[in-house]
Amino acid sequence: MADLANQDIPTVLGPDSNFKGELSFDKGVRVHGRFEGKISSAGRLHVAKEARMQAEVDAGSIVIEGELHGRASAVERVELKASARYEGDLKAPRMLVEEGAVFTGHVSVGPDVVKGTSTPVNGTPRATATPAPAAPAAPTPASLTR
Amino acid sequence: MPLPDASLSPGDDRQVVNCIHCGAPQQVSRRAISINCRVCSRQLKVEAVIIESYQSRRIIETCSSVTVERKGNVFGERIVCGSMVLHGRVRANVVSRGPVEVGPHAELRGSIEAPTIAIGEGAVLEGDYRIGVAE
Repeated sequence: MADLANQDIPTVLGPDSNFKGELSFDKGVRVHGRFEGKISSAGRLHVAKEARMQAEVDAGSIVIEGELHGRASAVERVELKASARYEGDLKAPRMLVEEGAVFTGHVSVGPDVVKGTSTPVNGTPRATATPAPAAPAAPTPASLTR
Repeated sequence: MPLPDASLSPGDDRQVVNCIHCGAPQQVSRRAISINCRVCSRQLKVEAVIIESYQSRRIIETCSSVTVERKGNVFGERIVCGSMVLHGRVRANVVSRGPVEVGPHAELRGSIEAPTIAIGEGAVLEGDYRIGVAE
């Protein structure tokens, strides 16, 4: 049973962990401890009840049961469980909020929300704007063209 | 056969509403349209508001529920209500003392302050949210 659960979320940061920095993963991660930094993944992030996070998160889906401060963006969905405490900006195509969840911040939810962002899941900026026209070439001094 | 509850008289048509200004609960008749709050003395609308078409209203205030039907479209500044059910479109800041339900095809642009929110799949939301935060 435990093995089946671990297949879904193979990486776990335990309750006594204190992580600072950037974290990336493929399938999923469950955070039970403290986390400060950045997460980018196409997988699933589970913020457990006892977790305290200060992070910028780009993930496939995000489930929050603990405390998260920062910015969160999900390609699939964000779930705020009853014990969730979230403060920050949130972007997702779908959002689920359970009764009892506490949440403050700017929300952008809709089918086209994440598609339109300039920062995709892998964190690499996507060129959305048209490139600026090249600056006119500086006039070449007559002394150099000779 | 169960005995009827002694505290409720037959045909009791009273309901409890909370003042949208001071939060004080008070019993009013279900047929009442407006009352004065017994605590803060401000006038309160207690009838449910149902919007089924386009409406441009600066402020909508009621202690009861505001329902925006699928073809409803509200363009305003502020909606203060007891609860809200949204199937259509709203562009206004919402302060609700009760739950806000956003249907699957609804669109809500503006800030929201409510104790709880339920969001259907496919709903479009944009704004600053304060959910479950005690005043």
